[in-house]
Parts: sequence; structure tokens; C-alpha cells
Amino acid sequence: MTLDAVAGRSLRTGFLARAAEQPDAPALVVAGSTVTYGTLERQARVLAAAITADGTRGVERVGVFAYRSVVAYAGTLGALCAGAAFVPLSPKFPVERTRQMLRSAAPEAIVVDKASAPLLAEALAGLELRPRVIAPEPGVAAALVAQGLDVVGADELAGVAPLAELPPALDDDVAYLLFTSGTTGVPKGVAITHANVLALLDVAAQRYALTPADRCSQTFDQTFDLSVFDLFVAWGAGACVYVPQPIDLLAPVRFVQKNGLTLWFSVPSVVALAVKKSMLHPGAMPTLRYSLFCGEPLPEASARAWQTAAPASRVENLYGPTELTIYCFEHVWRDGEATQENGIVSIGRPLPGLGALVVDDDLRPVPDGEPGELLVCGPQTSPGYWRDATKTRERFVDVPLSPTRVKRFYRTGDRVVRGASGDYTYLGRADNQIKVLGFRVELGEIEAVLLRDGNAVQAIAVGWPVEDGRAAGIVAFVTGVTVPGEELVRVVSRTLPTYMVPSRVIVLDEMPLNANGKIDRRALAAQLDDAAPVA
Amino acid sequence: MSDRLQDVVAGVLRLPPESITDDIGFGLTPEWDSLNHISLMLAIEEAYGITLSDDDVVELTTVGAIRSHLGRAPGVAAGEQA
Repeated sequence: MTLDAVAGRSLRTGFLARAAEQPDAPALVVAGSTVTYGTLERQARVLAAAITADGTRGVERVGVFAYRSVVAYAGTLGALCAGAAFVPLSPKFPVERTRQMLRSAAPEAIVVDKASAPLLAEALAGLELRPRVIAPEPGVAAALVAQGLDVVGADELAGVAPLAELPPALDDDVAYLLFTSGTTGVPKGVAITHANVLALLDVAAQRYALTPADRCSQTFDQTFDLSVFDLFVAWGAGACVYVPQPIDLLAPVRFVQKNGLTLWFSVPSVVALAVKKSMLHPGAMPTLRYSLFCGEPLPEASARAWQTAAPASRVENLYGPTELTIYCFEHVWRDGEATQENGIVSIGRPLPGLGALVVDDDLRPVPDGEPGELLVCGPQTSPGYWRDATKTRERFVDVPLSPTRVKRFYRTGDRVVRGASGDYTYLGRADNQIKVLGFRVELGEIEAVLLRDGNAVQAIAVGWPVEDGRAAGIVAFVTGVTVPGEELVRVVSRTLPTYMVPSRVIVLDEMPLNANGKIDRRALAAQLDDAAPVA
Repeated sequence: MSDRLQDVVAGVLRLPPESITDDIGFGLTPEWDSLNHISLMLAIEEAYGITLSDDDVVELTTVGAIRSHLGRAPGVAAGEQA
């Protein structure tokens, strides 16, 4: 059966259209090299040909296992050109976590860079999965072939023609599969369709009206869905994407100045660090038109400091979980606007086309001014968690809006309040999820690993230290173990990414209990220099 | 015995001074993360009475690099470097 060629759009469409119009324009500047739209498109189509065996093999998911390099970006586009979803994997994660993600995603192909190839071989060695491995850099294939893997290396790729006829990608096909922290000790996959992501890209195209003259940052790791905005909003407009190395994020003004950036998008922590080091001099970043922040609460002081350094830019606070596709609330910050009590900039209002409800524990709407859990519906709502119907049912719920009208909402787990003006304020989590430097962390996942791999009887993780209302790290408490806490730090670091590994594990004889007989997280955190927990 | 720079780095990273060698650095040891890197730059400015530029913040990513920078910094006496 042949599926008719699809006239509609998918995530790759904007990039391919601009590549046809302006093949010689720069699309990407990474690690000192500039890659044009034409070159990047050719590389993507060659990878797509290798992934699909010249279009003869249907592929649904392609892993991208690479550091921030041309291979990572060409691999992402290559997956989309192959009509597949891309699955970002990180060589910075422990091998066991990569193995968990591979086991769940089961990609039929993986694009890997030279630096990550040994780690990929190690991860696959423990699995039955045998994906086709595409290694575009020279000197990588032989070692992988020796492991018995099906490899397409640099020599073979040199003879591969770019795939001209791309397999279709339909609206409800998965465009990308991202893994986030899961409470059970295993990361959970969030599936985002082409229709989900196009809904957001269309709104962004209108809001920012970027042109080929724009120069945009790409600060977010590719395992973070905000990177999809970085890439595809810029590429859809023919603009160029500039990729900082991790250390560049500690001197953002220097990076903006050096590259003449017009759009900056990062977690607010970057601003807090720049403020700490007094880097944000008035007018230091005159080229910026847009300064966007997302991933954690934006303190008003950070917004003001950044605005002073980038006077011509519009400062926006964006909000949204992965399940609602990149972001779903926006707020344009203006100095002098009514201050939130907690000193945090408002998350504003839902994007056009989305609906929001603030509800109590029984999913009944609460009046304006009363706090509750935020529920969101609309075209950006993910179909659910990857191959996990139970978790999907828990978080994606049907809510009756009238006797005849039921809508499917995502329960964000975030506590908000809607003010009389219609703007929403973020109050914190309804559960034990926190953000550490923008990364989403389920404290329950750390606790589950301490119980499972550390043989603890009880385990509690808290966000600490807390700066500007955000956790800068994690400390855990355990009971029932005889090994020192340092040993448990080593144990969890075998499974969890660095940002989830507690800086300390404190061994206690027993946990303090509150009046209800539950473990008292606040009392635990109070032992840490009287800091309050973020939980 | 640890030298002064080792003590400053050890204080920020909360590691034993004797574990601070010239080749440890940003992203190379779990304790030397982005938050601690900025704290370390501030601690060095205070300890040595110097100002580090944005370029320095990006370039001084190992103990060895910081040590050679201090060696070149005007106003930092030779005896103060170690």
C-alpha cells in the first residue's frame, strides 16, 4: 500500500522551504564552524537515505546521540527527513539511563557523533535492541562494526545520494519523543506530534516575525524541548542559530556581543549568575530584539537587570511543561508593572487557541484569586506518555465544561492563581517535582533510586540550596543504611544525570515526622542551614 | 601542604584542599558546576583583589589556567599566588 504524498506540513517543512530559497545563507554556527542551509539540508537528506536504506525501509524513531555538534543538528533533521520522530539522547547521562531510554524508545536507527560512539556501544551491549547506527564522522565505524552492530560509517555515507523523495510525516505522527524525570525511578517518554509542534511554531512565527537577518541563541540542551523552539522557529524564518558552549552561558553578554544576537532564549538561572558576577552593564546588548526566559520562575530583579542591559529588547516570561509542547503561557514583562507578592514575574496568559482552568483536588474550577492546579487544553496537548497508558490516564483527563461538552486537559501539577486581570501567577508545585537550573526533576525518582540501588529503608530528597526561590541543587536523607553518604552519592550517579545527583546524602537514624505522622520535609531541610525546601 | 589557590578553590567547591590539582576544572568534576564557577570567580576576585572580565570567566576553567592568570595579573605578588 502506498500512502499518497502529503501536501500538508510537518516539523521539517519550514527548514526545507528556507533551504530551497536561500541555500547559501548561514543556518548554524557551532563550535567555530558555520553551516549553510544548503549544506545542512544535504547532510540531513544523506542521513535520511542511510536511515531508510534509500527510502526502502520505514523507520518510526531515530535516536540522536551526540554532543552539540553539526552531527546532532543534521541528525535531528535527518530523522525528520526520514519521516521519523527524533529521540534526543545525551552522552552526558550515565550509560544506564541511556539504556533505559533506548529500551523504552526502541529506535530503529541512531545517529551518533565520534565522541559519543564508545558510550553508545556500551549502552547497546546490554540490550537486545539492534538499531542501524549512522556514524558520519571518519574513524568511528570500525570499532562499532567489531561489536557486531549494523553501521553506516563515513566512507559508506560518502557514496550515498541525498534522499530526494521524503517519506510523508502526518499530523498525528510523532515528531519527537523526549524523556523527562519519572517518579518510579525510570525516565518517562513524552510523545509530541507534528500537529502539536506546528501549533506552537505558527503562534511563534506571528509573535516574533523573525527574518533571515535574525541571529538566535541555542542555549538549551537537545534533551530539553525548548531546544525545538531554538532551532525550528529560527529555521522557519531563515535565521541563523548560534550554539554556545556550556562555559559561554556563564558570560551571556559576551556571547550576545560576539555574535550580534537579536534573540536570546535561556533559563532565568543564566541571568541570576550574570547578575551575581555584575556582568549586566546598562546597554551592553543593544542588538537584542527579544529576550525570552522559560524553564523556571523568572524573578523580577532578573528581568529588570536583563532589560537594562538589553534596552531595545522585549523581555518575555514563558511557561509550559513538555507535555504541552515547548510553552503554553506567555507574558511580556514591563518595568513598573504590578509586582507579584513572591517577586516572581507573572506567567501571563495562555497562547491563542489554548484553554486553561484552575481547579481544586476534585478537578472543580476555583474562583479567580484562589489557588489551584493548572489544567491546559488545546492543540499543543501531547497524545500522552510513550507506551504508558496508566500514566497517560492519570495526567491527561477529560473535564466536563458543560453537560454536553467535554475537553481533554493536561494536569500540569503546577499551582497557580488567576488574578482579576486575567493573568496567572505561578505558586509552585502541587507535588514533589522541582526544577534544578531549569531541568525538571522528580524528587521521587531520586528517592526511588536510593531505595532500589542504595538499599535505603527510607529516602527523602529536597531541593537545596534555595536561591531566589529556586533550587540550585539537591540533598537527600536516608535511613537504614550502614554505608557512608558519599558512597550513596556514587551509587545514584551510576543511573541519574549529574543535575539529579544529590550533592550530599545524609544518613539518619530516623526521619523526623510531622503532626500527621508523615515524614517532615521541612524539618529535614531546616537542618541544612535553616533553608526552606523547594517541594 | 595546600597552597592559597587550592584553599580558595577547595572552600568554594567544598572539597579537601589536597584534592585540588591543576587539571581539575569546570565540567570535569561534578562539584565544579555553573553555579560554583561564578562563586569561584567572585572568591578569586576577593582573595586576590583583582577584577575578572567576562573573557576571563570563560577562559579560566581549570585551576591551572587560574594559576597562570594570577601569575600574570598586575598587583598579585608572587608570594600571594601560592
